[in-house]
Amino acid sequence: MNLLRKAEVAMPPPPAMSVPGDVPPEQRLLPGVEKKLRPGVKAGLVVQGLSKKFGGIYAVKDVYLDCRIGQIVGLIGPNGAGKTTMMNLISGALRPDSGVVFIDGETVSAASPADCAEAGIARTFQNIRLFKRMTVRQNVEVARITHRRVAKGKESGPGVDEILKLLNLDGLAELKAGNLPYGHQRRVEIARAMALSPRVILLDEPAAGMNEQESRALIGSVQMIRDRFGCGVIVIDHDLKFIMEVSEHLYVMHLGEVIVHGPPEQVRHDERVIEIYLGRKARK
Amino acid sequence: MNLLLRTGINAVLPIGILVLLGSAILAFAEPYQVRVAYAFFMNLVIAIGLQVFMGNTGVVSFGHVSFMGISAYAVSLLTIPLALKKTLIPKAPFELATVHVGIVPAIVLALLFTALVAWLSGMVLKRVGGAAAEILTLALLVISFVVFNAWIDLTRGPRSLYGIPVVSSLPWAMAAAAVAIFVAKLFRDSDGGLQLRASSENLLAARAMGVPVESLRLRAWVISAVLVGVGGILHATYLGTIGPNSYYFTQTFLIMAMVILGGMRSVSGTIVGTALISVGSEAARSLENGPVIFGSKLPEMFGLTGFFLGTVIVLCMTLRRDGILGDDEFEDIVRQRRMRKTEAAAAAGVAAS
Repeated sequence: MNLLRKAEVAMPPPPAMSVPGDVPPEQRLLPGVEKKLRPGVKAGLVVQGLSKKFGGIYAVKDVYLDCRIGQIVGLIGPNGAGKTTMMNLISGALRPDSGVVFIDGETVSAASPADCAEAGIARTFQNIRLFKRMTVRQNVEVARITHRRVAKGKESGPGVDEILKLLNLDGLAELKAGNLPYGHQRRVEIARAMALSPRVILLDEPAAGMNEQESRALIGSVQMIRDRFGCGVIVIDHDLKFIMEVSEHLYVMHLGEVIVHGPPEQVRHDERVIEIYLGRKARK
Repeated sequence: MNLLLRTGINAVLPIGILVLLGSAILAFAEPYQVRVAYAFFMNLVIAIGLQVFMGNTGVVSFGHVSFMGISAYAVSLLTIPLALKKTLIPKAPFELATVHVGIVPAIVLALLFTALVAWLSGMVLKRVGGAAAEILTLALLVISFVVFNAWIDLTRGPRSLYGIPVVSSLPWAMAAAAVAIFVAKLFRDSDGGLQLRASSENLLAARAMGVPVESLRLRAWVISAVLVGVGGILHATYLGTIGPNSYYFTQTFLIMAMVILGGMRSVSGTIVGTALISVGSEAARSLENGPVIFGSKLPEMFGLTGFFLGTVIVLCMTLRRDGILGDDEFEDIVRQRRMRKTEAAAAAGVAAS
């Protein structure tokens, strides 16, 4: 705990760029995104002042973040930065102490995971959580049932067969998900999340355990998901190289706070990012 | 494909085999064997009822036999002739000593009452999962037993109720089993059933996919309670006399063994398990009395049936935890075999060219 406090004290004060709190979220649309929205539609995910404490220590502190339809947003930070806590807060697995999550301008915070899924937030899990005894198709079907129920006959987005085809799973549809190799299981998780026809999908460390070649292919898949399903994508990872390439806008978290955000090129050269990733001395 | 049609096709094989078996017994067997067959079909209805809950939610229930008791007592209290009731339970509450209805409305009312009790207990149960839920079901069994045993004015307690019209026979039990199999398979393959099974495999992921776990659990609980209730009615209307001990641990243990041995996640597994346990415990019972085999008299071994059931559960839990069929229904096994065959044929084709 002392270590944490020291680190907090040692942190330089955040510059104006990373304190977007005093601007209403509607006006904080990222450059180029407005074009993708119909005028007046607040489409996508907006997170406002989200905080969560565990045992008196902030795991996430006053975070502002947004991800518009058709945008790929990266969330990065070293271990313990609060990325996964953020993920759990947005997807309803944890209740925030304060702050609000909006989807398309409607509040979803303090909702249950099932409510969030119905509202259009889909997610994958860092440690894969498939329905292992079920077939690949059944895994996807479970999520699709929720979408059908919520959409009340007006289904949107690709159906189960098309989703399986898009993620190259059509040949494996009748196999039990638990028997597939690791990389395939990750794809099944993404397919299952996409079956919700979500507004935003959260990918929790999708490149974990992948080699260079696989994670390159993953970049293509993430872009395909965005284009084909027309949703926002939030990618969480601590692999700088992967996330720099995949995302259009990058948030950097450290000790529960967003310290910098901006386009990847800009973030890459930010002194504080270099510091938390390489240590203080690297700056000199 | 339409769900009803698909379930119908898939249920033809198990139901067909059972109906053939039952008809053969009806045509050729002696009264004793007909009684054994009746017990088999009655236990099949109850085991399948239990499977609907345990198999889809993954929560083990020790409490379902209480629903058997509830509907058995309900149907009895409504159908025992008034004259007999006056001597048996003159001080029955709710004016029950003066109420008499026909057998069909009595069955409907008994099942509705069972569903009501299930719904009330389910409202509590749906909120808890895992071990807590299992202990809760056990408590339910004990509570219902205490009520059957101690509410003398209503149930006559251990002195048992008699005079229930004996209207049931083997064809009725067969029909009930066929309906139970169909309902269980329909629920298993329905949207709710699929989502519920997903939640039993990974609760967190299921919730994140928008599965309404609580309401689906409640639905499974009520459907399974009603099916078990049908079993209770089969019990009461065949024997004509019921007592609290019929709806307690012995019966619970018997049904659990059937469901677990065959594979609790599959309706087909429950059918297989029920058949095996029925044959096995019948054999154990005949050994209990110390029969004469090849001229030598075996010793009497009372309690051998219970020993047999316990051994089966222990062996099953250590050697094959998922039961004989695991997750698979009969149609899955047929399909997998066909898939393997085409794969083998394809491989052979490649090898030849």
